[in-house]
Amino acid sequence: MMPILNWEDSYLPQTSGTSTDFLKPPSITEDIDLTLGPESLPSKQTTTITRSFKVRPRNAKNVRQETEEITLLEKWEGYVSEILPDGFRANLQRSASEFKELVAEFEFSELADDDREILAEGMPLVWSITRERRNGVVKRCSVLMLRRQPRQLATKDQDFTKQLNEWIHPNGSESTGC
Amino acid sequence: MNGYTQTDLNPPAADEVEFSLFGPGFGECVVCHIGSAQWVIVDSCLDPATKEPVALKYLESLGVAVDSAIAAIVSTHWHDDHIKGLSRILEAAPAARYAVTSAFDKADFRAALSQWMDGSSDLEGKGFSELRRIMSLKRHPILAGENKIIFERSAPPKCQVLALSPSDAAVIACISKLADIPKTKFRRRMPEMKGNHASVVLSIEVENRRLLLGGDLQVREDRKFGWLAVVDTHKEFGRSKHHVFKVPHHGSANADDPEIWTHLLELEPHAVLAPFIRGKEKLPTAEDTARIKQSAGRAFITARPTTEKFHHPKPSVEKTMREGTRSLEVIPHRFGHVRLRGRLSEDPQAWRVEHFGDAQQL
Repeated sequence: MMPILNWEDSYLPQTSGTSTDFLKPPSITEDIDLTLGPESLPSKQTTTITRSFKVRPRNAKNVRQETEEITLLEKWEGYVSEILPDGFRANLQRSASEFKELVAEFEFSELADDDREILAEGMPLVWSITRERRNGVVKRCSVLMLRRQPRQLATKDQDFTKQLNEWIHPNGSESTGC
Repeated sequence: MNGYTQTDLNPPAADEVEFSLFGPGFGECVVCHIGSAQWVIVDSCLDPATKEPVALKYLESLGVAVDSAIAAIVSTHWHDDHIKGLSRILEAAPAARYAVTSAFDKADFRAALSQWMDGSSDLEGKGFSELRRIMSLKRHPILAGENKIIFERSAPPKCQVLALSPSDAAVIACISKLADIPKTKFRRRMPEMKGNHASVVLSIEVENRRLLLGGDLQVREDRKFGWLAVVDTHKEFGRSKHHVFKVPHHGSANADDPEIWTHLLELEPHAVLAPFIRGKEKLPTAEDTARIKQSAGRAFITARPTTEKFHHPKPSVEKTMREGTRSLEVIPHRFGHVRLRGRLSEDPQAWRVEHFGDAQQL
């Protein structure tokens, strides 16, 4: 059986490239014949599953430098401050120590679909401006992503509740409910 | 402090009342001299240049002994723009009484609030990180609600700091609003609560001079809530009207009602406000300004309610940022201070008004 190679696009040889290492055989290839037994396949049919591996040429690092380069130009972090009918606003800072604050208004379309689904006021987000050099073509990109962090455990809520209770009623006298 | 001459930094006389409002465009802080070298601080914000609490910086520059001269510190509500630096003020003033909204008295309020406390300041916001710092100081607060006396001095000049809100009904409404905020799968900051039901409004009376500090309380149609509840209680107790008004909620229309000006304030009072420039709509709007000027004798604002244009040193980066957004605004480093001083022996309607930094007359 012929080995099946699946070269990752970014590692394909470029016409502008000078290295001939691309032409060397890949270091990993694999075909697997998996014959399932009669218990699982009463017909004794033989199934061949072919796994494709991403194959990295020996000097992949050099190849990446030639074909794709991403430079972070700006990074702003903050949170969604206001959801508007046709977009949203975010308060952003370049770093926690920097006092200067930016307020930006974005279209919903600036977010990926799965981020759009979870968009809510107060969600933390990161806005990056990058310079991408791909196949000799340079372009600048604006990338907006919501930060997904799981909600804290209920036990942590209870810890804060306890601390708040002790702060308001240090002697344990407690008002209940509303 | 920057922008003051040496004369500006002379402390008030013992028989002189001072009302000072500081505001950098996002945040506000009131500092009042209540006679006899005693002071009250209401809310806190930071000096944009030094990141120090403005109240501390100002009082230190007047030569006030902060550790002993501050009689009371009040947090009107827990929005980020009213709370920054408060824990540092409490640390510096160990003798001061400290008051927070009476909503904290309710177990349901505390339980709902704690769900938004996270333990990391970047995610939970400055309000909660200040709250955690204050809790760690073990400064147990007075709960300020309708008709609660925060501070009283019987020796002349007599003084009383009285909370006029929130009403019990308003606290329940606040808890309900807090509980109604939808929970999401992922962590996020607590959204700003609309309505400001539980905001503390204060009446400060020093002999015959009276100040009304509106916090961020808004007007509700139902008279059990908001400003109309304050008006009704004020009329019921037959209390005197005020000469100076810290305009609530940055002058927004939803925090204003003719009944406030008729029943709580003397004719043509001095009105002072701080702007809010982080939202889509900057406060006060031109209509708000016109309305306030019509009702007040004189009105002042601590900074212009406008943001600055964004400029990046690299035009190509700026172009990409602009292409990715509909608008880009910079919260400016503006900072202003409006100060009113008046002697107890003089007409209580007469105040010597000074403004510093970016502050101006409306």
